[in-house]
Amino acid sequence: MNNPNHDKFNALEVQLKVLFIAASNGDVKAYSSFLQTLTPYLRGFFRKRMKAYPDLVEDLTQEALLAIHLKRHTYDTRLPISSWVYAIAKYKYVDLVRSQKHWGKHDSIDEDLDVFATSDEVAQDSRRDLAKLLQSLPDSSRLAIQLTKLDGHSVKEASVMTGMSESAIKIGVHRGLKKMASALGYKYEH
Amino acid sequence: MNTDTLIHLLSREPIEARAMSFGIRLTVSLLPAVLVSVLLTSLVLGIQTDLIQKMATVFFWLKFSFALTLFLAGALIVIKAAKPGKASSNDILMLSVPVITVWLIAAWTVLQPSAPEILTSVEGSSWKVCSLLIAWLSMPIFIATFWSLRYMASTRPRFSGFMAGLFSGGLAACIYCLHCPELSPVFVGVWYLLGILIPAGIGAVLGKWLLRW
Repeated sequence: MNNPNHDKFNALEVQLKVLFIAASNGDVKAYSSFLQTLTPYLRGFFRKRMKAYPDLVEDLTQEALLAIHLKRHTYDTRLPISSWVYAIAKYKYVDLVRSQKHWGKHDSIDEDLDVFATSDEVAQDSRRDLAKLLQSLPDSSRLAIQLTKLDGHSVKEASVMTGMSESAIKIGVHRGLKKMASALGYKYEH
Repeated sequence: MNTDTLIHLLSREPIEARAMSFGIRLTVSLLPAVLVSVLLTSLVLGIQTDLIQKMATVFFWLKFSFALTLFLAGALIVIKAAKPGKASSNDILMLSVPVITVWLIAAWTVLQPSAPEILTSVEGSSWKVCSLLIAWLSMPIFIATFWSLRYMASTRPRFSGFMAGLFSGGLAACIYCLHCPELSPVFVGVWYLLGILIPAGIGAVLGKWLLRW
């Protein structure tokens, strides 16, 4: 009961209901201020649900206002006015989404582009960083890491290819990773 | 258009004094429709000659109550669903009461030792036309109901369409009792139910378009 949002909601509910009832008794000013009070909430309701289509928020807000106006005789004064408005706003939102079935396609295309663009960029960045870090390592460590961790050879293969002993490869990897980790600000424990 | 301009325009429009309640509007629109259905039944199909004798039997009233309860329950749900913001409820379960009652009584009559062959009770003398005639008779009522509903704002157009069709079918079945010679609950449980479900199905399909707002 101490929730301030709860009190705020109740105050709004009472305010809107009083205005609407006054309006349906012929008070034009009350009707105008009812619509004006309601509009920012409608806009907020649609903005939250139409994040991908911000340019449609205003259209939906107007559509809902018009529907509220045209169907104002369907409000049952025994019910909270918020539930009546909510039902209308939700209906208009669902109706729009259903009538735009092609949105599904647009959505996925946009998303794909987005995913490709960003992930590509990120991968390039990290590869460049890794190359830079590797360059800073001593030859033994760099080779060991390059062969076993990046090119995917086994320790034995790397040993044959470099002429280093298997344990030297392992130590090289270990030291190299430790150095790279500390260069990136991580603690390497193994 | 700017939203503020829209608000300005809307608030300048004169506000109707108390709008007609939906119940009254529906009743008013139903009167001529029912009249048409009754006239069709009495003039085209013909009222049974022994209707008065049949009205003395329990089974006649069982048949009539079956149609009437579906009509009344449907009306209640249609009126409730016509306004936005009413909590959805399990009212629809009400509809199962008349159906299950008739089926139980039908099962009981079939199990009687003196009962005729079950197929005989199912077919009666008019099984081929019963459902279709109920569906046809529901047409004027169906149109009147949809006309009234379009003035309202159902947030579930398909559901409202279904209930409006069921309601029309139930009312049409009540009227059809004037003509229908059948008394068996088995017959009622099959063909009356089907006859009422035909407009309900059509209503569900049309509701999506006709009840959009």
